[in-house]
Amino acid sequence: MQWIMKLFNLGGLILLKIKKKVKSEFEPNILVFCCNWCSYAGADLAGVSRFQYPPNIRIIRVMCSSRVDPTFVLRAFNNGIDGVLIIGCHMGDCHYMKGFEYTQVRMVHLKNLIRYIGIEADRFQLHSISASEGKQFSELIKDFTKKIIEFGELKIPKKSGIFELEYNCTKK
Amino acid sequence: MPNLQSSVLVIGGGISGIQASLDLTKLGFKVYLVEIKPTIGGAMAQLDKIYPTLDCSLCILAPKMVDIYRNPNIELFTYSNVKNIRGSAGDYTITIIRKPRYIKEDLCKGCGDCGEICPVRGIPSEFDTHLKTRGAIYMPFPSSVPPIYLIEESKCLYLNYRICGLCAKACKPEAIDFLQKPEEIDLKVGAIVIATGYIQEMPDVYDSFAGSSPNVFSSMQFERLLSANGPTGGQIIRLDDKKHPHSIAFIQCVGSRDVHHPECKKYCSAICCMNSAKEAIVVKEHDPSIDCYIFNTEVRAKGKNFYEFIEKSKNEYNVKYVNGHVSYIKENLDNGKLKLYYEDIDKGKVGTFEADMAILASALSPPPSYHELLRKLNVGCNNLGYIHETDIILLEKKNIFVTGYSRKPNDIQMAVAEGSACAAKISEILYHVRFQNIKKLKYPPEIPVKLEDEPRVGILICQCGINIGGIVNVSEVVDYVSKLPYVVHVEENMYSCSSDSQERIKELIIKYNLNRFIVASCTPRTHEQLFKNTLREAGLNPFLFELVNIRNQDSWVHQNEPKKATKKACDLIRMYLAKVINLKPLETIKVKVEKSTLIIGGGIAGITAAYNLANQGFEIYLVDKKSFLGGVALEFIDLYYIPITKNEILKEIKDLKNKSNVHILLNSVIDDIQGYVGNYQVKVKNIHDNSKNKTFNVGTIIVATGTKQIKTSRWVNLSERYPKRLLTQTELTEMKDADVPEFKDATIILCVDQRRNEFNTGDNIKTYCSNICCGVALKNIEKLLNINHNAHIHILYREFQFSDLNAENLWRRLRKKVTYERYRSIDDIKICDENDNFHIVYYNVGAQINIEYNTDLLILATPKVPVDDTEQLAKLLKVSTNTNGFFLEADAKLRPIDFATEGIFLCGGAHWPKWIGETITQAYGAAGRAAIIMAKGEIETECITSYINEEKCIGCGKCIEICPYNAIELVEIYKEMGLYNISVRKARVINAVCKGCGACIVECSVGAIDQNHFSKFQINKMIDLLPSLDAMDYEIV
Ligand code: FES
Repeated sequence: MQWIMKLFNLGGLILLKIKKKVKSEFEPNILVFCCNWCSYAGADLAGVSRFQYPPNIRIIRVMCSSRVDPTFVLRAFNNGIDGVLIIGCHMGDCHYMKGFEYTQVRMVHLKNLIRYIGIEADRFQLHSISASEGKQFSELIKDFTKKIIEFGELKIPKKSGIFELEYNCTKK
Repeated sequence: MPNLQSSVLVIGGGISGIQASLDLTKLGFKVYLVEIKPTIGGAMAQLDKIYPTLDCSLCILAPKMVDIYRNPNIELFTYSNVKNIRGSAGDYTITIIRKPRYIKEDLCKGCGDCGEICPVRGIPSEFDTHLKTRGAIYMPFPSSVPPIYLIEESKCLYLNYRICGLCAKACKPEAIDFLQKPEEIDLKVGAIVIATGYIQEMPDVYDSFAGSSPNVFSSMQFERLLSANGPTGGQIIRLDDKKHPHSIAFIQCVGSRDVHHPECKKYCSAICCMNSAKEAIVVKEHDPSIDCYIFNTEVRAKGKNFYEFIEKSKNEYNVKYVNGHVSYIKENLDNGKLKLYYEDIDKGKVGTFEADMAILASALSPPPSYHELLRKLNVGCNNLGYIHETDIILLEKKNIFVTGYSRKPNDIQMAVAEGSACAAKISEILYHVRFQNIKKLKYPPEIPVKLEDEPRVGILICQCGINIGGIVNVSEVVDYVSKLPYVVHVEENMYSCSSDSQERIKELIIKYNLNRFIVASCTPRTHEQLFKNTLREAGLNPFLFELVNIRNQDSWVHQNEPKKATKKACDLIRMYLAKVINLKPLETIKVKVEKSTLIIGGGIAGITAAYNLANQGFEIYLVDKKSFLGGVALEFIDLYYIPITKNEILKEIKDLKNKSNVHILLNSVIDDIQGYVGNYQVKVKNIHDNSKNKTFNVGTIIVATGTKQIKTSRWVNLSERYPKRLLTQTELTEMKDADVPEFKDATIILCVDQRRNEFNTGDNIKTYCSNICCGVALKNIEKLLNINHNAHIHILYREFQFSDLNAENLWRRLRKKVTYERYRSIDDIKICDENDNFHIVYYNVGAQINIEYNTDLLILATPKVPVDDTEQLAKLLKVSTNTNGFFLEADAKLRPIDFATEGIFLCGGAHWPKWIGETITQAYGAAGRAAIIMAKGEIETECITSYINEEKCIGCGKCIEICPYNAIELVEIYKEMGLYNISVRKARVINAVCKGCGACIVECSVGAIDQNHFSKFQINKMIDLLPSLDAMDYEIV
């Protein structure tokens, strides 16, 4: 299992030795979870139709929005990612019928938790995009990025403790 | 019985031919695919986008083309021609002439060294509709299949004058062979499919449309101009002064629907209106400041969601539709613009208009090779240039099938359905000999990859022409990525999806002993499967692969920020690298498939599918709510526009009843469906008699529930007062001649409460077009004229929507007896009763005045809607419906008869209202698709499923509650606890049912569940590596 450790360290080690340059312009890191069937297709359509949006997002494809574990979001914030977006299908359009409903319920709780930790709750949002809404996708990303830039760089309040806990249980 | 051959000849490698070929091989036949051009792909390969989904055309076609090329059971003869056809049904001998390419097919790598060195230049490229030039040695387009070069004989210096020969020197694999001769090949086949497609000709009428001007394009030329790999790289510019146009005029019906001009086609080409709307939308998306005007006589949007698409172009994109026929175009030499002279129907005068560019939607017609072929088969064609419908039936008796544009003008969706239908019919006829000539796909043994092994990752980064490479600095990405850990080899290339790239991937895997692979290119939604297959062919488990989307979600959406797009590409690849090194090889499970089908709906669609499948030896359960088979077709007095009669349908039903493998369940509804593809448990309830309830297992399901016509609330008071004299079209069709009330003056109103825009939707008001009303109206007029020869008949219409050749002819013929009157909006029509007569007032578009008259028989074309229990059925089947309530197919263009759920298929009116002819085609298609699953007797299931760690599971059952597919069960297992064996409950996933959504994982409070391929660990690693590690951003402290 040595190599797993190696990669695991890749993120951490380098970060230890180096420090982020202070740049005049703030370029946020934004993580987006898209479900395979609607929102990912919507993102693809935005591409096909060449709707431009800011290049700060990184999309992780999952089969359904209900796959997104709240711990993913927490981990992202812990890693210093400035905003997290989960995009699923429209209510009732979920490829797995009820997946998006589950997601909605879960994310309400998560949002409360995030607020409780002391992070601006709007750094995390849940939205719906269908496969034919390329335009809406790009608009959404534009708005969200703007919002995150307004918030500025993520500062995790010290002593929240919640992250260490989470780290330990997902370490495998 | 003659000696049946187990192979099929497909003539034409367009989308229809491709679909037929692929389906045929899966049904167990060897296919010879003959294409006259040097590459397959047909017209669809030339298109930029397709409507109504606005998908990139080549993107969805290319994987299919590659499938053809890689299929061991398809023998591809490009640049070849059919010389003659001998023999009889079931046992034909075909002679094919293969023209010399002067290149050895097996040696050419398609590298392009020869093309670069060839001194002959400036030959107009056929693929780019003469807008681009090429050399004498060329490849038609970058993703041609086969991906090899050829020499044009008449232009080559060496072949003509024995000088030059540079290409032979430049070619490293020594593939050039100037001595090649035409080759004659004899093939033995049992059936023939004709799919020669269409061409867009430039008839002489073009002179009056300034056809020689550099700023006048045919629609196909414009398509190339829009395309990113076209002559201008996707830029819309005028070809002479290279300026961006401010206004573009699209001119419809050029050289078509014209009975007077001998050069012109008499029929409607069926696809131009939608095509122009699509092109206009694409233009608007490129640059919203360009004004698009579509000059049309009437907009024909004949297809599912097509009318809505046209409305979208008007409302969302502000494309302007001008109602008028353009008579000629002149170049204005003063300002370089084009001056259009047209008849403005709305204003009732002749108008002029100046545009920077004009696009002629000119007539499409079958190519000369089609007529040559018909001559060889000894069948004639009608005055429109197509085979007679009766001849099509005749040919089918001889095992010769006509599909796609060769049959009649139609769009891609129908071409695909017809391709599948041909395969189904052939499978029925040659059922006894299938699988006799088929080669099994042999994969090399899998290289064992263990989790402990050091990952060795290969990465291929695609330029996608200029799609990616034009924005993302690919070599910089290669540089960055090659420094990441575990990356053994990185390479960039032009088109990763091309077949030579597949070879390259295989080579790399073996050369560098790779055990993981990443391709950074387009979207996994279209191309993942292709690469997975390649991996498997190289002996690697297909799940050790990830596709990184750096086109649709990077280069295309960050066109103005190349630096940041490059960085994003690096970041994405890094993230996916973290995932890919943690991937596990997954095994597919083979599941036995029941060789039986449930067909829901016993209308003409259901019967046709049942008949076909029963003849292929499958067990059929045909369920219908009604007490008889035949559906609406039998309630109609006449069947329209198809060369079969009601008696033939009745005979088919009788035949069906006599078959031992067909179970007909009438008066029955579906009570419950459980299970999954290959093994559905179906409960059927009899409405009257509970003892006739039945439970059985089937492998596949075909939905053929059909449509019905509804009454809307419009003029409801009149219809209550005169129920006999205010009818819907269906009511009139079903009426016997004697029952029709006496009349002197009859009026048919089309588009009643349909084709409305969304603002006035309400109860039973529909936004879509019901497709068949116009044609039915014509037949109803015939019927009315039969009853009363002297009656005066009005038909109030907005736009006629038929592109059917027969309907068009009938429409012309009836013009002498009927007044066609165009109205603008249904709200403009006022009807009241006056001395027992209907008094109609409406605004006539042609005359530009209000017209009033009395009529005594009123027939309304109200919307057609899906049958009542569609919603309920959709729930049982776990499939979805669209906003109009019709069943939703998997893909509007390339999978029109499949559901997204495997094993369930769709045909007939359940998809969208359609003609009986189209219904039959779709039914055959659905039967063929179902047969593909059942033919082999087993299928392989999903690999991306959940799995449960039994150690951790506490058997709480939360996951079971939440699973939408009932894919988790609780099992009791015995555990040794010291001296005792105690029983504990544990959850277990049923692999074949699990669809892999992953909802259960999050629900589990002890973290016992995880998902293959999207595991917690893998996603966590991706998140960890997201924060940018770009050296530019950091300094060492
Ligand atoms: S599939 Fe899109 S949210 Fe479930």
